[in-house]
Amino acid sequence: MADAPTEHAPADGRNSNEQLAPLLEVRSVRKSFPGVLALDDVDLVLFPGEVLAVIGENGAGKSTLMKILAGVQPADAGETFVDGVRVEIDGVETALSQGIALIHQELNLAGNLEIGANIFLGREPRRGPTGTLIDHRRIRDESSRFLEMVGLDVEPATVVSELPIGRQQMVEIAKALSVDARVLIMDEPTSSLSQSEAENLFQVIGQLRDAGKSIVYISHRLGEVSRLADRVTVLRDGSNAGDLARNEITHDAMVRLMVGRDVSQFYQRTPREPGEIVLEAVALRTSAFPEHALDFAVRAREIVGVAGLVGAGRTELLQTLFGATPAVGGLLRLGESELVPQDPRQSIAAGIALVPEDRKQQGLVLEMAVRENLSLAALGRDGRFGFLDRNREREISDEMISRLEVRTPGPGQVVRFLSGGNQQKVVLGKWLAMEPRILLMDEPTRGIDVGAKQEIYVLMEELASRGVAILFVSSEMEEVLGMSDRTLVMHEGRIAGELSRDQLDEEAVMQLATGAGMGANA
Amino acid sequence: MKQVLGISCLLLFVFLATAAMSESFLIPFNLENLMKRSSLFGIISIGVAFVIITGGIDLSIGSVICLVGCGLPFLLQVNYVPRGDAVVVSVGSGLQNSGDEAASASLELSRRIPGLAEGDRVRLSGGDRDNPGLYRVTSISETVVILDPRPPLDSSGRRLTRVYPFTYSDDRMAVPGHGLKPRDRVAFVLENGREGVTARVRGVAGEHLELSEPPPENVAAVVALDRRPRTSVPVALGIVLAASLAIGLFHGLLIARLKLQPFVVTLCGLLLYRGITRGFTEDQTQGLGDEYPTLKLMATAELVQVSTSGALGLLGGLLVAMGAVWGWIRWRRRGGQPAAVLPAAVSVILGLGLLTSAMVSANTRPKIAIAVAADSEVTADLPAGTNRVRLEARETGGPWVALDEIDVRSTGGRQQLEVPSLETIREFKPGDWSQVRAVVVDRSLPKIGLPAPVVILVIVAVLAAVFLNHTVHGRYLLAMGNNEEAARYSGINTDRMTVLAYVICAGLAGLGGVLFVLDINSAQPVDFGNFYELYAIAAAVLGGCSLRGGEGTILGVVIGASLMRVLKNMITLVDWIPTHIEYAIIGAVILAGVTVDELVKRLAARRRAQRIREVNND
Repeated sequence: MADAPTEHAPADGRNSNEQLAPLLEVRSVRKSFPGVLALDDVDLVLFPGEVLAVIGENGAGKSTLMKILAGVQPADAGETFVDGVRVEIDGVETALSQGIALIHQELNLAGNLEIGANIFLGREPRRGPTGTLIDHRRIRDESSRFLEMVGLDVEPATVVSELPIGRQQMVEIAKALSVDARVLIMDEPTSSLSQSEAENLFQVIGQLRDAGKSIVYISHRLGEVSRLADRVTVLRDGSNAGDLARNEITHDAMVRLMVGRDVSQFYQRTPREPGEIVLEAVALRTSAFPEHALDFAVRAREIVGVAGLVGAGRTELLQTLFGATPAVGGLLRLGESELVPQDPRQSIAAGIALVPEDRKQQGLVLEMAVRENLSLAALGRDGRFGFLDRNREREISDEMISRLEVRTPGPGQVVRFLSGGNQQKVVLGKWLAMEPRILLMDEPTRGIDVGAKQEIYVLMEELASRGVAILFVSSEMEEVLGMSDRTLVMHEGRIAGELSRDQLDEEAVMQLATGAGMGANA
Repeated sequence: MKQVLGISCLLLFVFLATAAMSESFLIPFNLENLMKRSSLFGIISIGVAFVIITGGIDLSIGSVICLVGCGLPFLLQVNYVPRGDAVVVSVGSGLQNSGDEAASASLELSRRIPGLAEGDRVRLSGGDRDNPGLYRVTSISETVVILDPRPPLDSSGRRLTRVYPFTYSDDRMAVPGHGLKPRDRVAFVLENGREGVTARVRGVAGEHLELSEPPPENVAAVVALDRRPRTSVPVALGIVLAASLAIGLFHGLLIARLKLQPFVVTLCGLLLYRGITRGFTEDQTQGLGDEYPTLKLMATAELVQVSTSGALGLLGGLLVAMGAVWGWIRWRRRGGQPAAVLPAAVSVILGLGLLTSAMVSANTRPKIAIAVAADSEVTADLPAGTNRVRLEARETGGPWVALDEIDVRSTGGRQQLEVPSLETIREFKPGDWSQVRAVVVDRSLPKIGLPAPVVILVIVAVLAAVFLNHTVHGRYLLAMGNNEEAARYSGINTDRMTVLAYVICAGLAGLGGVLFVLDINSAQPVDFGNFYELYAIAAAVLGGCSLRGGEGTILGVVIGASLMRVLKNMITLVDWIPTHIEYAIIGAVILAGVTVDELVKRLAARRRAQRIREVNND
């Protein structure tokens, strides 16, 4: 929360950078998107040869800040200094020329090309009298050198898509090194890596730091951060929440700065008595993990969290329950009736609704109006002889807009222009219009601001107390701990265990999620 | 309304520009043809718009039109078959053996001719030496006949056809026992057996026939020709329309179920259906000739006759009224911002322009001066009906001054007109009048007919617009065009909607094919409907459909199709535009239209984002 950015104390960590001037500094960066002020006067300082972790909740503005640093997006206001000299970063090329390279969260490689071709994409060394031919030999030689630097022992002629994801990431880093980057920005680099791949990455990061490179490391995984970072900068709701020096980096300190409020207040729970079982999965098999039969039950008035690491099969479970990906075995008992989920239409008819993880792709018709999105699922039910009932449609949308407090200029507004939180409310409103008995929510608060987040938690509580059964998937530990009455933890396609409210704590979840606690509850 | 404003202005601009540059543009024949063509292309464009709205494409329309356009005349092809007709299988020699030279030969026929009796006459024709002749049946039993006079011995293999005697008097022809129906034909046969002209049967009253032609001289008898269409009209229409719907179903299922790409599926369709058509027609031109005049009315009838200036005035008035109402609504909604009514004002101004041109065209029509005379009697050619005649006089060298207007009834042709003498005029109106004349004032412009396809287009367009905007499935179509996955996750049967879109598209292409061939009356399998898919797609895109899907209005598509036709018309009619650069002009206009549309859309999006920001900052 420093008001005078130049007075940032250098990290007093193990690398003792006191005498060094900042390598990169940004002051008062502002950026707004339609509906959201993503960054509000944010400052950031990076010293040579340090690993700076930038942490914050989803929507805190970390990724936006990094995109601005790397020239992917322009800032609305703010100044950038490299080596104390003010520079204007107006594109990826200028950022690269200043030695700033972004390793994307979604890898930015052309999978069909060879490693060498990827490393030199757009800057291929030329040969021949007119310089029109690509110098393949030089690409091969130079690539090998950079691959060696990141500890990757593969032929530069290997096609990228043949590499596992962790190695692809190393290629990205090699590519950044090849342009002589001094600042490497890594956005959630371990999110899709296995444990050993992550270990390998940490080693490479250490070597790079020792070689004098500066690394901006963005992660949700506080364990990694405390292990790697020399310094931590915390963002909250688009502003600086504070910095932590090496000796201040603890899990609690980071959470306190990230959340900025008492967690127990954030998740306001009301006592509820779970009712009868409304959804029971009997030996359900998903197409992603057909070898595992899943059995569990959800009761009315109950909020059940599904925790697990990325790739544990949580999203696949919800998609299968909803029928979006047909089940390959087993069935659902829904009170009296049974259902083998094959198609969303059957599930919807049975009272199941899904708020999908990919809101823009699966939840909303972005180019259509708020009203049209809110009524989309209910149209078939409300139509009269196949004709639209416009009055009913208006009623539904007006009701949902006021009930969910969707902030929109009007029901005719195109959904694309709403903020993430309001878009999510529209997705929810679409299903509330159908009065579902079972609400499946996949990462219900991903990418939305804190205010809207809390509104969604309140709504989940309200729905549950009205008798709706809620099954939600979340990668945010706080959310799982705060919201669930009961938690299912998944590991590699299985339900590794079930935790009641009393058993629920971060350690128990992580144990089950990493497979350490197998058999404890099975 | 907002989406089609730009394209409407463009259409109006091209329309007025062409009218200004070419005198033959506003003549009724051209306008009728233009309306007809616009409507036919409008129908197929609406079809492809449905597919484009789902995010797909249909390249096979032109070939479906070819299939239907050639298939319909093929199925309706009419043959005229002689009534009472058989082939001579062998010539019997039994009677010859009796030694009686005058005795006739007995002919064995391929089949029994119903109703053929002793005393009837027949015609023998064909065979190796075509030497036809008329004979009388002297005896008949089942398939064996004996003729008089004796037919030549090589009669085997020839064709025996019953001929009917007739009487002709008072323009009425009596043919006893003919068994003909209206639209059948008769062939007149001369005494030597040669066949003369044929005539169509217009009406039948007992044994009396009303024919399209009177019988020529020296005709001995007639051959009755039964009309044998390959299939009946309802069956043929049913087959071609069912075929086009089936094609749509086929495309839709391949695309929805097997997830094949629409471009690939319909590109193969484009090749497939044209190839099939060229196969079954053996690449021969198909047409209906002068058959089926009632069926052709579907495409060629002109329903209401209105005056050209009346039509222009009506259109102008409509624009003014719509612009005024629209502007008023926007003015109220936006709280009196002058910028808000700008588009509406454009519409009013354009409407006023059309109204003015209507009035000008009504008043500047040439009047027919029929007489300049100092006499009191003038003869002149007058059109039949009531003519408005204006009497004018002038002083020497001065301008003509109108004196009076009178109505003169005429039965058509040369007629005497009474013109008052100069003395009478001078008494009536003082002045040094030296000349007087009578002028027939033509107040009415030539009438313009409303082609039937316009009505069909209006019906199709209204149904399509109601479907798209007011039914649940129309909304589903738009939603899945924007985001198929989100639609599926909302419980919409997206597969079914995809199939539906392709069925609608192919069905309307089939309807278009029927109307095209009924209008043109001739279809060559090799190029009928060629490129029509591209015209239709271009019209849909001009009309505001995005190939990304989810966008488009029916009105826009109809206007887009009209714009394409007016452009083509302009290129044909305006002298200084070389016709061979037609494609270049059409391509350039579409590109310009789409570019401007995209820019306008971006501006609107930016403004909308601005409004959102304001809401959020509140």
